Formats: sequence, structure tokens, C-alpha cells
Amino acid sequence: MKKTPYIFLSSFLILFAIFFILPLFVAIYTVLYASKGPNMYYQFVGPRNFLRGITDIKLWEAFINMWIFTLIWIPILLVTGLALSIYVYNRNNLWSRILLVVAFLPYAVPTVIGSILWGFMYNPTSGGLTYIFSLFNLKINLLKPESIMIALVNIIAWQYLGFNTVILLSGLRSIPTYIYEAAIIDGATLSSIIKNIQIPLIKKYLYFIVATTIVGAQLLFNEPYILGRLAPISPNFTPNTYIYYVIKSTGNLNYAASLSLVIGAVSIISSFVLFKKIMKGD
Amino acid sequence: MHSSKKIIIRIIEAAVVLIVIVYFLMPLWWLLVSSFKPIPEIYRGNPFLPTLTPSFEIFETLFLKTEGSLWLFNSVSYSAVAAFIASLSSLAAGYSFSKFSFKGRSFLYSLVAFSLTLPVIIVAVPTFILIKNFGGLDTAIGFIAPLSFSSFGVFLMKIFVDSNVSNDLLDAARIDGASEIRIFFSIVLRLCLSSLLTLFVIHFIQTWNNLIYGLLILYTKEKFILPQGMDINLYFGSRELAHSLSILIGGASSSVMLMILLFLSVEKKIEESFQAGYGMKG
Repeated sequence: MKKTPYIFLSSFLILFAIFFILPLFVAIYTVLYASKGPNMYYQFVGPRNFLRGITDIKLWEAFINMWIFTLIWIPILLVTGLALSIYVYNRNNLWSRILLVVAFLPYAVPTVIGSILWGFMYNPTSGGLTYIFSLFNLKINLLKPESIMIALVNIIAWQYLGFNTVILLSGLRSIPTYIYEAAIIDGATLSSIIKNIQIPLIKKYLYFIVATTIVGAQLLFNEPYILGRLAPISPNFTPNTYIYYVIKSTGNLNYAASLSLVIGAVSIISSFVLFKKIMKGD
Repeated sequence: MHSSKKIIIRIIEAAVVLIVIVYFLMPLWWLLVSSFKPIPEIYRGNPFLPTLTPSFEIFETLFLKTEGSLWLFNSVSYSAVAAFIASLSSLAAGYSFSKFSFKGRSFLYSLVAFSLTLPVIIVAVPTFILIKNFGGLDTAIGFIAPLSFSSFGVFLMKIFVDSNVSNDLLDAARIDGASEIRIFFSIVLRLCLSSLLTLFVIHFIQTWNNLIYGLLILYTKEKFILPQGMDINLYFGSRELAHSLSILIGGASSSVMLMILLFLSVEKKIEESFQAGYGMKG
């Protein structure tokens, strides 16, 4: 009887210990050593790898790149996400429901597949988007280094806008109806209801999607990796593509482990700061 | 005057809704249309118009002339095994956290909660090092094992067991002399089937999407997951164009169809198990 809870825990706990707890210690241990040939633990070097990771310009370029990405994407996300959710909520007819389902659909598409599909759309000679641009006599190639950020923003928008809209929609649905009733008795118009009731009352949800977007953007891999196969972009486009590049090109796992610790630390600090703001409620 | 203004607003509204729907459906429509084109037609003419001579050339090439069917099989089986172990072990652990008090309970639970705040990349690199040292590189187990648990799942299942499995029912079963294992499989599992299936689907898609583990751990072509197989065909360099296109387009449409089927099957199961759950309670 006393053993029962441990038996039920065991299968999860064994996997959790081997593939989560142990790797954390392996990471710290590995960072403290330098390798020589196949021996990863050849020489104790103390904090050297970690200091090199923290001061790696290429890693910070990758972070700055993703912060720029966030600066472009978040305003678009907020405007389109708010517009979509408020439209779907207030209209509430067949077309608005179709709109919601269609917008959510790409979330079910695996991200690698979504990126490849957009790669086909962007293809400068025969892509679908290129074809549509050509109908308007436009010659736009998004697979160029200077426009690759827009190509990425679009893939992310396609994949995640519907999901974020659903989150905002659940915020709108949580507003109690008596508030609307009071507003209508006071003679409020639809636009003033949107401006003075709906947007202020889903502030928490807006902060939530902004926070998850900022933290998530720092950890992007699949989409920029696939884009990197189609267009000439630098291997340190995002922190995670940089780690992969370091592993593949140098094989220096001691250094890769230290990079992953730095990325983890930045991600934890940023989510701590951002989510603390949400908890405070404004 | 007033009503004509209203009509114009209606037309603008319909146009905007239509544009948004077209945007979200565009790549998927292209995929559907292209999947049934003869291969030489794919890069010819309007990319969004269906062909007049539909063919299964893409799927024939994918399944008969390339490793595509093998990669698809690998992805399905790896993801299914990982999701099966992860969801069942999460339910067992969540049940244990929810219904038993034991030594170390709060410590272990806060450890699980802590793991949710860490980004995957922190463990990805040291897990790769571990697998390398265990000699697990380029094996199916090396890929599946580290993905066979879910801290999020434990969290989800604990909440679900908290609210859906009543203590009275468990006590009644114990008084009737049912063993703990039997209680778990015939009561807890049955009452939580809907969320168990949801977790299975979420974890299945996550594993399917895990390109970075595939890239790091698997490197002979026969063991690749589908996203990896599609990745090496993005260059169009390694083999002829017809093969690459079949793998990319056929692989993408197979994945999308599978995901949609998965979502639909779960939706039905959720309703069924809800009814079963209410039946048990009543």
C-alpha cells in the first residue's frame, strides 16, 4: 500500500531523471572541461567555456536578430489578432466561424511542413506568391537576405495567428454579460464598447500572448532552419540555429553545452521578467 | 444615401473576410492541387489551378521509388511510441500526485513544475551527449527514449484527475477488493480517456515536429524521420527533381492528412469518453 504511489510514479520518474535531471548535470559538467579528440573530458578548464559563450558576439547577434523579429511581429500580431478575435466575437455568424476555423487550421500543420509549403510559395520562379505578385506586375523575391525577416514573420503569422486569436477569444468570452447590458442601457455604440470595454478587459490575455511570443521567438529553430536551406541566411540567424551550426561545423560539444546554458538563462530571465508583469495584473 | 453606404461597408467587410480566408488556405490549397498534378505540370502555368489530367504520380513516386514511405513509417512509429509512453506515464504520475500522499511528494511535484519553465534546448545538447556516450546515436531508441516523457502531461493529468476522479469511487473500489493496478486501468484510465487522448495527440505532433533531435541523433537515411528526409531533398541536388518534388509534396500532404485525421478522431473520442464518464458518475 505504501509503495503504490511510487509504482505509479516510477515510469515517468525514471525517464524524467535520465532525460531531464541528468542532462542538467551533464551540461554543467561538460562545460567545465575541454575535449581532445574523442575524449570530451580531457582537461578541466573551469568557467572558460561559459565565459566564452556569454561573450560570443555571434550568439548575441542571433538574440538581437530575434528581438528585431519580435519588434516586427508583435505589433502585427496584436493588431490582426485583436481585429480577428473582436470581429469573430461580435459578428458571431457562419462566416465569422468559418474564418476562425480556417485561421486555426495552420496550427495543426507541423511547423516543418508549414515552412516547406511557404518555401514553395516564395520560390522566385514558380512560387504561388510570386505568381500572385506577378498578377499585380510586382516582382518580389522574399528569399533574399534583405527580406528574409519578412518571409519568416509571414510563416510565423500563418502558423500562430489563429492560435493566438483563440486565446484572445477566450478572453473576450470571459467578460461577464452584465457589463455589456449596462453599457447598452447607457447608450454605448459598438465602437465604444470595443474601445472602452473589450480591449481593456482582455489586457491580461494580450500581455500573455506578447510574453509567450517574445520567449518563443528566442527559441525558434524549425522555421529559420528550413528557410536557411532555401535562402542565403547566416547560420546564427537564431540562437538555436547557431547552436546547431556549432555542433555540425566544429563538433565542439563542450562549447555547444555552454551556449545552451546561456540561451536557457536568457530565456528563463526574460520569461521571469515578462510573466511577473502579467501576475501583477498590468 | 444611408443604405447605399451600408451596402458599401458590407462589401468591404466581405472582401476583407475573403482575403483573410484566402491567405490562410492558400498554401494548403496549393498543396492539394499540386498533389494530384503530373510532376512536369507542377512548375508550369497557374500554380493554384487544378490539373485537367489528375494523376497519382507524386504518391507513386514517393511510395515506390524513394525512401519516402520508410520515413513516413519511421515518423509515425517513433511518434506513436513516444506519445503512448508519455501519455500513459503522465496519467500514472498525475494520478499518483493527485490521490496519494507520500514522502517527497511536494519536492517532486515542484521539480516537475520547475522543468516546465526551462526551454528544451538546455536539455537537448546534454541529452545528445548522453546518448552519444551510451552508444545510442543513430538508433530508433536513441531518438524515442528522450522524448518519451512529458512534464506538461503530468501537470495536465494531475489537474484532470483532481476534478474528474472522485475519492469516494476509489474508496468504494478498494472496499470491493479491487487491486490498485486494476483501479488504475479500469476506473482512472476510463474516466480520463479524453484528456489522455488529447495528450497523446499533442505529444505525437511534438515528436513529429522534433527536427533538431532527428538532425542530431539519426544520420543513416533508413532511420530518418520524415521532416529530415524532406530537409535533405530541399536542395534538389542529391537526386532528380521528380523524386525530390514527390518527397516534398507527397510527404507534406501525407503529414497534413494524418494530422487532420488525428484531430478528428480525437474530437469524436473526447465526446464518447465524456459520455462514458458521466455514465459512471450517474
